[in-house]
Amino acid sequence: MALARAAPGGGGGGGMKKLLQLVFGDLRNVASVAVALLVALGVSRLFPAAAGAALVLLLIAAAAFQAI
Amino acid sequence: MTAAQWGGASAIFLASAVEWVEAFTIVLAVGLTIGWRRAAGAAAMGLAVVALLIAVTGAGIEAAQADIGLIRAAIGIFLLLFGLRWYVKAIRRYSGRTALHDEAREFAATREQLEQAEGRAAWVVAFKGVLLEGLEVWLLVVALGHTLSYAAAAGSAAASLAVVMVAGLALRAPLTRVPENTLKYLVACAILSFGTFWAIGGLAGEQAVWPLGDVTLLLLFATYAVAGRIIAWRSRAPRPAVAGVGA
Repeated sequence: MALARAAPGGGGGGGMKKLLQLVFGDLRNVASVAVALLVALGVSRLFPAAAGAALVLLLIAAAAFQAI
Repeated sequence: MTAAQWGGASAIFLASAVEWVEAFTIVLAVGLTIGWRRAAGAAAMGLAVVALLIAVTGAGIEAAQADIGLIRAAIGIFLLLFGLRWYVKAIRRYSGRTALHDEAREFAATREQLEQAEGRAAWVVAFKGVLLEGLEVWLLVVALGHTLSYAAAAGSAAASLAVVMVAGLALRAPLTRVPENTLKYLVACAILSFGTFWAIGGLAGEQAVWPLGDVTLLLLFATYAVAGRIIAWRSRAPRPAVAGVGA
């Protein structure tokens, strides 16, 4: 996905844009990580020991959503 | 040296070894992707920055200790973004939703350019991994070094680095025989594991979030590895992927 958008015909500022896309991925990837982290942070306020598990589950769910 | 000093040196050696193994795992993973020379260059640069920080800040360790959580969180988030993207791509290849060499076929003209950009990103992963672990070793040296001299403490940490490097280099050859997508998948699982551990640990407090400590990394790796294969199995394409579709 990111590679597809980073491909030919990118135009001006393409180098940095490509690099950012290759590092961070597309919007869905960034949103997945941001939401998972925010929810895990919220969980950490109430149940700190469950925050890690929450983050893992959310990231796996995000991967499943993106992969299908 | 007294018994207490030997104890201090041993503790620094072992604790540093844990950190160096983590750093070496990242460098090893990146090295399998972008080549050993560039990965080693990134690692050397990371160590050089740590050495420079030590030389410049010296005794100002309290400031570094205050910020290590933020540094850990920032690097962790970076690894999560990078790792999740690789993880999804590897799962799609396992499931047949993306053919193994689609990207090369679809973008033959720009393949080299894309690989260079991806190589730069992987270089940054190795650099930041070594930088963070090096900073943690530095904190260990200062925290535990009061039982012996600062030089002896630093020597223990350096000896531990040498042992880990020798052991790690022996693993290089067997790893290069692993199939490409399996390798990328395992690298993604490792990067995601470190990213998960550092991101939420840095933001919410490592001891509170990860009561098992560094052992958690192995559990995270196993969880991601198993979950990814299950996702790939459940989402496998009904027929072979059409070239040029997907990631």
